Amino acid sequence: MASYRRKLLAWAAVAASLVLLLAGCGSSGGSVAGSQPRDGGTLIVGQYQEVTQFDPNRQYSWETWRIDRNIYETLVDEDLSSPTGVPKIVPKLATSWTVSPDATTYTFQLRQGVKFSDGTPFNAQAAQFNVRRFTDPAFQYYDKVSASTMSLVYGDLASFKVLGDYTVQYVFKHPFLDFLRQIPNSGNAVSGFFSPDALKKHGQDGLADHPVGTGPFTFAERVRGDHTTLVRNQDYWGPRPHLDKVIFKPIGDDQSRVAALQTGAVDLISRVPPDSVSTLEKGGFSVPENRGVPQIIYYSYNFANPYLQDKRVRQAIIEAVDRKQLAANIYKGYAEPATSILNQGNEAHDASAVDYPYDPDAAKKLLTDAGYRPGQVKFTILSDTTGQPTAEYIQQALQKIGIDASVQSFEWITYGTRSANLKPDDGLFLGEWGYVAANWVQIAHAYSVGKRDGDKYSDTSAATVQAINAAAYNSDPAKANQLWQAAAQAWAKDATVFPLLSFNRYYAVSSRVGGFVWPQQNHYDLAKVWVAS
Amino acid sequence: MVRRILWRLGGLVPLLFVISLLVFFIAQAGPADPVQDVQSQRMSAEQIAQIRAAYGLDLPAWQQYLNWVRDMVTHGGGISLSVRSPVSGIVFPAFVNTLILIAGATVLTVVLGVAIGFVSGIRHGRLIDRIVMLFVQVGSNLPIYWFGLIIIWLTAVRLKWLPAGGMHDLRGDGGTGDLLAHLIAPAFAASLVSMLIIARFVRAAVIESEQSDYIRTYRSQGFGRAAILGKHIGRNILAPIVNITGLTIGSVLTGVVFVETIFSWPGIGSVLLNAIAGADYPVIQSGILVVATSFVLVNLVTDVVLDLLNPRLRHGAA
Repeated sequence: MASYRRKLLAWAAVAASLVLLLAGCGSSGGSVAGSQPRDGGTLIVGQYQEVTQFDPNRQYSWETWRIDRNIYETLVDEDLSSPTGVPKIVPKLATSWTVSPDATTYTFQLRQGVKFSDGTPFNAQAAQFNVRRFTDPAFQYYDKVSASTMSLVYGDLASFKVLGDYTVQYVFKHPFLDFLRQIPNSGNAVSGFFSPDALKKHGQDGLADHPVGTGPFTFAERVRGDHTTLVRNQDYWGPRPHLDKVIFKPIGDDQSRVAALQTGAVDLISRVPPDSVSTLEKGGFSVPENRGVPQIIYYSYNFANPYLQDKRVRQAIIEAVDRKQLAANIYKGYAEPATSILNQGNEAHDASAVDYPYDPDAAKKLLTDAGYRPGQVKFTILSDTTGQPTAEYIQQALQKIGIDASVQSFEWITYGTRSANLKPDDGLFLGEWGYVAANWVQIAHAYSVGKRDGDKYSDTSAATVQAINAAAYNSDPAKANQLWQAAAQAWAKDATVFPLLSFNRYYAVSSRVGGFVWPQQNHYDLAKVWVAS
Repeated sequence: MVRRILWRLGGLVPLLFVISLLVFFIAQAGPADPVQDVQSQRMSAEQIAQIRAAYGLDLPAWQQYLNWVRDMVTHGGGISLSVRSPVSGIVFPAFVNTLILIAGATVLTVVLGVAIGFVSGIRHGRLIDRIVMLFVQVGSNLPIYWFGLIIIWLTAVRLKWLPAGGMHDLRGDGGTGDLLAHLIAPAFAASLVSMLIIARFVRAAVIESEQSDYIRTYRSQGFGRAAILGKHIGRNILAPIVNITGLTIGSVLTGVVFVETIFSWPGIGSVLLNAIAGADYPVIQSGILVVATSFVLVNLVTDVVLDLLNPRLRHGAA
């Protein structure tokens, strides 16, 4: 008995020391990165998705663009050095430009002396090669895939002219006020210039793995599923970036990504889970706040679902959900409710715009008017896994007005395929997008409604299309915002899109990193970022 | 012996043929359309048809199967539909990474499983046995996903002993030591369930042997405990351990997908997950075929080792 007790005591001691050990290794606040910028060093970025591909004309996704924009440069860029305010358009590969009064013709003076990282010159011919690749079916290097992706911005291009070795001109069929804004804007339809030699050498499919541009960093390697490495471009025409190397690593699991930051394996992560914000801040990490980033989470409707062909049902869904509470509770205040498709950070954003206010009683009445008994309307909500809490919140809200929704969530890439193959039982599916440029209204309408035959199912859709066209073909900058706001309001009446929220926390940064700014854009500039030694 | 092995190898041919057929048609029967992806939403029906034709997706299924077999034989698979680069360059490097993880997990499974089982077995009924068995019971029922996160939290975030994930330190130059440091936690997570199966098995075998008549005879003749344990009990349970290890590698293979996700291990699991998501047939088919083939090979090796360990088979049939 005595020996038994002694052993028990020994085990208890082991257990107790283990607990003490764990407690002893508690939070350790990091030291602040040197206040002086330092040249050299490696920044490691933990991304929340595997990136698509490094062919600017074929790539999609923000995480891909956050890498790509360091390799490829565009004619104009945005000044991303301030965390607030719509970023200013600044020269990049073009030193100056003129826009015709009717906003159809854009003439650019190209920067001289710029070379692609393979040594070939950037000039009007190289620019023409790029543009013909995705606009000219007669061109030897025409690429159908690029053409369809790039049509988002260049669908209305009437002609591209070389006016000199360093002068080029884009002529559009209609006024296109947002062209300059679209050039550096997006994760889709990237206007960055690749080296024509690289395309000739590696082929249409090969450019993705052999990206060659003029940017401050060049591509070193990509190990799929593991990392992509960029190194500083020694012959860069512009100011030297501080960093020598940037490594991007996909870490899909939220908790693993946070752990990688906490242990110093990575220096910067995107898509911080709301639950981790305060833990990270207490641990000495910076989780910057920004309430003006042009990003919006929204649901689109599946118009093949008979219930959702009825405008009253769609409107009831919007009225059933308290988006303020969703942002405050599910996202712990690290998100803002969105009540218009014109996202925060958009040039035409109007904070007072509301599609339909929260009113569950009115929602119930709409369903009754539409002839449905409680429990009769059923559909599936499709979401990615990060959006599952949102989907469940909406499921509960819909239940209260008598709609029986189920939730299916998938990892992001699976979700992309699943939502491109909708089934009749599907009702709502998640979208994550948003722009600085106000013609986002037109883009969003095309993707959520136009291409899905949604216009058939609203008695006011003719007015919506008219309002959108009026704004899209307007050539007067002074009227632009007002016209886009009117278009968004007209569209809201159709209840064919369901805006939900925008994040106000997104990145978390280690204290080793200096100079990181989260601008009002969906990407960041690494030019002024440095790391402590 | 050699003839037996050759015979078994010959038997693999029809087996792999059946597997390849199954793999091909199961992937084909999947619900998603490889051309309907995010990009294609902007394409016209005509453009989609052109892409379908370019990748041979408009051919009858049997012809697609033959093309795939030809691609597999000539250069290890065709062109990935979503990534648009050769399948072999996607599947094989990832699979090598998975093999490293499985090798680590197998070593831990055998070493720790046998050690736990042995200690528990020879201390049968004592306090340490009860505590160990409690851990074994609880551990066997832990969801691997959750367990992996706990390991990361404990070993990386709290104790800072091990890295939080990945296969190597992106700041360093790599090297074997670095790889091993990154391997321990995921290998442990992947091995947990099979390790505990082996532990339970070894424990039962040790108890049974210790109580058997011949051991009692040895003991009565004054043989030392260590000699009995090592030479007789050890040898007696060796064959079943090999057998079970072979079988558990299969379960490690299935669990490894979750482990790779949590520990950001760049293996076949994440490749397959993405490929299934993107309905990337060539990658799914080649990936599963590689995994299935290695499964069959592991079984073959297990059988051969068992034969070698069993004197009756070694001298008899051949």
